[in-house]
Amino acid sequence: MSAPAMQDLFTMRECAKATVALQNLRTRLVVHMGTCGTAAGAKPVLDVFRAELTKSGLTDIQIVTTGCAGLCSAEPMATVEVRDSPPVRYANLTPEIATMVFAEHVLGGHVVTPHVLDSGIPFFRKQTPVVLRNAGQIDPEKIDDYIVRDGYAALAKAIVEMTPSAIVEAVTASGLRGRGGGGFPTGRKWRACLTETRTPKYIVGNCDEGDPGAFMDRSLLEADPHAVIEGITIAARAVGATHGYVYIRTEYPVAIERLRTAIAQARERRLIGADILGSGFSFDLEIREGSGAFVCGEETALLRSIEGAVPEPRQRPPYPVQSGLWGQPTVINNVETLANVPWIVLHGAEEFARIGTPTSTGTKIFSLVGKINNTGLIEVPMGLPLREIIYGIGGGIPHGKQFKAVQTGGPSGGCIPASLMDLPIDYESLQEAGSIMGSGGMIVMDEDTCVVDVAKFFLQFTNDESCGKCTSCRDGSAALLEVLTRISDGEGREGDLEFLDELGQAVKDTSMCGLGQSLPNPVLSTLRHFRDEYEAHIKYRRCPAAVCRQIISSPCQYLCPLGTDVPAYLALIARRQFREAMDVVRKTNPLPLICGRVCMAHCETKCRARDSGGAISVRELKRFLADWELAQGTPPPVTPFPRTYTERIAVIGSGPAGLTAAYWLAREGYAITVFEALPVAGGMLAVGIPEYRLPRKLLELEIGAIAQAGVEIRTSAPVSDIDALLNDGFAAVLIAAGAHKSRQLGLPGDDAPGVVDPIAMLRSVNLKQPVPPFGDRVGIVGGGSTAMDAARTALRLWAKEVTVFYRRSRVEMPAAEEEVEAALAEGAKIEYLVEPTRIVTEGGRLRGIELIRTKLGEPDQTGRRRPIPVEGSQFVVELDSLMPAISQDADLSFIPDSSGIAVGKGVVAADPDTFATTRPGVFACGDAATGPADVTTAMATARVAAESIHKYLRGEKAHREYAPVRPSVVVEPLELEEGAASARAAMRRLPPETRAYCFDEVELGLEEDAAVGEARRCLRCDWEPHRARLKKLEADKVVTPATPAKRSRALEVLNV
Amino acid sequence: MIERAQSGIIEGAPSEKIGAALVVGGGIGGMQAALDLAGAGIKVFLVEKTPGAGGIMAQLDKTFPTNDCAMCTMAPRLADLSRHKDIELLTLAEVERIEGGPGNFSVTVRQKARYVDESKCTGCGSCVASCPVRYRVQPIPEERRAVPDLAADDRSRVSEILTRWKGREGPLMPILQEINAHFNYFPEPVLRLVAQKTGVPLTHIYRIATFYSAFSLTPRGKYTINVCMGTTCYVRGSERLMEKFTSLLGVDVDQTTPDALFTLKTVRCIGCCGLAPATMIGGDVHGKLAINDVPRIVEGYRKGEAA
Repeated sequence: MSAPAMQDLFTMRECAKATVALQNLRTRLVVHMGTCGTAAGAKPVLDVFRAELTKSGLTDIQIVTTGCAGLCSAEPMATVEVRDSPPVRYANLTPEIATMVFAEHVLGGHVVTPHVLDSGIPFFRKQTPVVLRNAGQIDPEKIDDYIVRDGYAALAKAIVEMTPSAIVEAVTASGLRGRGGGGFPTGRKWRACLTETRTPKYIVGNCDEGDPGAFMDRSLLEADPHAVIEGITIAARAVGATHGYVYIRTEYPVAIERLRTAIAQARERRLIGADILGSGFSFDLEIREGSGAFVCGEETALLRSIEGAVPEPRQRPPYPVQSGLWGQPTVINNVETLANVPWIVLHGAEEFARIGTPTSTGTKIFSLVGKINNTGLIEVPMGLPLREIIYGIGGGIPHGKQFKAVQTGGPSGGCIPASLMDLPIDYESLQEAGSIMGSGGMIVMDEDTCVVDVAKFFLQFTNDESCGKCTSCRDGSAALLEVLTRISDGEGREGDLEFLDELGQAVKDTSMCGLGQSLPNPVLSTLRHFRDEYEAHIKYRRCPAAVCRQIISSPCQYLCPLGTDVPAYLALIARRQFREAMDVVRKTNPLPLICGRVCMAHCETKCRARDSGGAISVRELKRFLADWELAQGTPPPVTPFPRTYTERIAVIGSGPAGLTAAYWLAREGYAITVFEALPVAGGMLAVGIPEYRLPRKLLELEIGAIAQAGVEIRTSAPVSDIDALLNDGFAAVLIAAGAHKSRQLGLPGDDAPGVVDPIAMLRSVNLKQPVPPFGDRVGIVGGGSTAMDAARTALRLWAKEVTVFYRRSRVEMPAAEEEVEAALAEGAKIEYLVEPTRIVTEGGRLRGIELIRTKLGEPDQTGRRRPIPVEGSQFVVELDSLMPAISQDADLSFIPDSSGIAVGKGVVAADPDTFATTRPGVFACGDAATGPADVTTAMATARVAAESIHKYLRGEKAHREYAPVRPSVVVEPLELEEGAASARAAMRRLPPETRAYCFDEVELGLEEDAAVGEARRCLRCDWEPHRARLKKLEADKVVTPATPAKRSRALEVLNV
Repeated sequence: MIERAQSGIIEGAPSEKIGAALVVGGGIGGMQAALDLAGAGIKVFLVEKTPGAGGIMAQLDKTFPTNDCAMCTMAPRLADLSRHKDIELLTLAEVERIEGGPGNFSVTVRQKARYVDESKCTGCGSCVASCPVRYRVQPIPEERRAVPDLAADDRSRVSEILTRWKGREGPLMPILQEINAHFNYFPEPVLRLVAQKTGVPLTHIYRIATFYSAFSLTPRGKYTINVCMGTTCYVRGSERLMEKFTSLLGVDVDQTTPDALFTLKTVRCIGCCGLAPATMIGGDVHGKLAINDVPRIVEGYRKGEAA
């Protein structure tokens, strides 16, 4: 029987080769048409190529459609293969680029370089294609393409040269393990079936790829269906099966169609069906579709689904090899496992075992998705470290964000945190880390992903998909979900985490099939690696990633240190209700003119409009409102707050913290006296921030308003003795003295003439005092606001050359993006990745600075990557003066040890919850308590401190209530309309050539229409939590269903 | 068989306390008592009249007043009970006689016969499926069969499907899938017809029809909008995409628009994770969707329909 079989295939291959040769092709144009390619727009690109080809009338050019080439993020892709030259791959095609590629490359022979995808990038270079050997190379609908590339040679070899037992032996020796998740040795399964004597036997290919985030089976069937057919036929030969099924989920229509075509072609060539290759061996293959039930991926459920029974799993043993389809011996393998088989038969088991690790041989396909630059399918040897996958092949995390964890194994797997970056990815290591290989989904999460939310998501999924047979799975998943939802809604209780642990373990122990046994994994593994994040949700009602909606309401409001209801005032701006909008701002912020100019805009950092035209310019809109109010005439007259309490309170310092605390305490009804050491009020606002960012006039207006409200501000009144204040009739003292002392570099020569304190320099300029000359060439060390202010001020005075030295790269710079850009525009230079090593002096005077180049290492506790000096890269820059702007400390000389107030390193030691110091009645807030921070953060601490002082004076226990963020007022959104701007509004600025010589305000604010257009871009993230609450109120019959007419009533209830 | 669960190690020394206890009743109370006793180091015999421990609570879904899931309370105890080395569980057993006094009782227990070998049973439930008392199809006599009310072409399509699959292995799923493809839902008369022709009980067909998410018993829109809620899409914001669809179409998930054009559904992963967030409308996959794209896409289908 042997000769004819080989002969058949040989003839077939020669015919195929001849067909290909006959076409005498000059160029092959390959368009990748997987589901992902099509979704990204490959169809119009293909149409363009076809139209152009018809137009050209050429016959030696062929257009081929293939499956996916793996790199989804670069779809649509096409490859141009000109005879005798290496193939060139184009990425991110559009019909326009396609026209160009056809004209210039296909016809003209010139590569269109800007659109070429470098095939040497790590994404392709570091892969080892075994299963995906043909993916993206061959036309999946042409059997000849497959045969030419050694297709079905393994089948012929298996039929002709090998006994069934030898095939099983080879697969066993190769160490191949199940790729669907379980990792059971394939050879052992086949052996068990082979020894069964009952017939008929069945073989089933499992392509019910239900794990969210995994799509290797789909891609495999779309790109190379014959590999699966060949593998399954060899398997049938090995175990003696006569009939086979491939079970594919119905969500994969393209895969189903291509496999159907492939089976028909294979049958026509007698590669399956009766009497295969004339050998007398018969095997037929059929497709069975799923109908959308996750549990059907479980083998016993899948078999029951084929039988037409209710697809609930059953207890094993007996295993399917003993009692499978209709009670007969059945081998069920994942299709990826089966696609490995032809390679093993053809190249030998030893060759296969050489790839990967001793216990996990071969390769594994992973779908690399989520927050990663190169999303797509990758096939790598087992045992590759996670780091290689994320940073090598995956190209790292988008937007320079921080990698947090990767979820492997879908809803049955677990999280692998960043700390296990060097974990080799194989069956055993993953299991040890509390996860599983699963089907190979790898969902990458960055700092913006909340683990509680992800665990909740998986539980929702498994709770939905639980078939309901086992109570522990059905009800256990519901109970777990209930607790997770509670935590994510900011209503978590003490003991919840212990309960999750306990119940999760019980569900694992008592469920029957894999679904139930593994569904607690996402919860248990995130609990194991990210317990602090769960605790933040429960104890502080905080979601560190700013995701859980019922906690954060909207990311902007949540991230604002003051908790300003950003979406509400944006919505009111969109409706041109500026007065009402201003009222919303004033609810939390007594200094809107100032904050509209110098706030660091934490609110914009996680704005979801970032993906559609850029984050909303929240700060500019606040400034627009404050300016608008000012333009209405003089600011509204302020009536002094009524005095309701007799106590007097002293506030030391009139910076943003001191002013804010004074404002809230005065509003509460206390008499406040602010003591300011400098001749002007405002602290850093007045003497640190230059005029071109914050005009003095506006500062005076807002301080004036606070004074009018009943706060007494004494300037040039330094406090030297806190005891004296307390003895003087002040019931409480708040230290808000700020941090005005520049920290030195800590190098010899710190005090040399020529080393200038930038804070002192800025102070002199702002107070219009004489500034000691600092020469032409100024060097500034640091990357924060102070560094930028010093640089820009120095340029405005007499410096000719200003260079900022920063030890990390621009992404990590703490200064606001606009400030950095403005400094660069005005002529400052910035040297990134350098660290000072020596202050060069000559005759005791500064000559310059010696620096060493750095490179970025691992992230430290602050999440920023740590700079590591590069050996031997020192160099010297000559300077006339050097300003260390690395950090500032509070000047605490007025607090003697005898005062009973403990101090830390450059700060007053204050309780982070209440801002109380170690001495009763004395509190501290702002930079003096936290170290140098930004304006709004200082104001936020002031508000908390003010509340603590009030509680202290009223004899209440000083503790801080933590609550989820709630909107201050509910404003219905306008529909997104044409009127909304498409991209972030550009700020109008004075041109650099004008502004670099004066201290006029650089930023000019938004015009009214621009502001309204910008506000309309807001996606109203806050509205959905409202809606959810509204629905709950309706369900609880608190309000009637919100018909438009009754809506107002519902909104009223929500506003309470 | 009568077994003497006599715990006395020292026969005839009634004054000695013998360190074993017998609990009668294997409900939640009995189980807890047994576990507590065993936890305190006492050997426990738990006697239960029915074939298994669990009692009434095992039959409850939720318990008053906290609405706690009954099985969640029970499952860990059941597991502990069977694992504990100092607990001997005697099911299908009843106490017959008690002798002796405090500190040293002698209890006679009647162990009833069992048809299942406990050491071999895995709890697979196959015995239930093959029990001859249930699972016998009761065919409806010809004269009592209702004639389904169907349009002529629908009827011929259905009978074509049924004829083609007649006699083949496991035909129910493919039949239902083809019917679903034709009608886009399962009209009740059709399911009755399938039951009659295939001999599969209607109750069973109903279980299948409601198990899979691709099936529906109510009519659905021409286009099914499947918003992918796979992990990647979710992480990339598909939930907000869904909100846009609900507000734009004015229907909730699993509902159909009044013009019968769209049915809004969620799907768990369509394998387009590389292009998340993705949505499948009819057979088309739309990838990398932004919220602002939604109105344009929906309008596209509406226009295509009007033209």
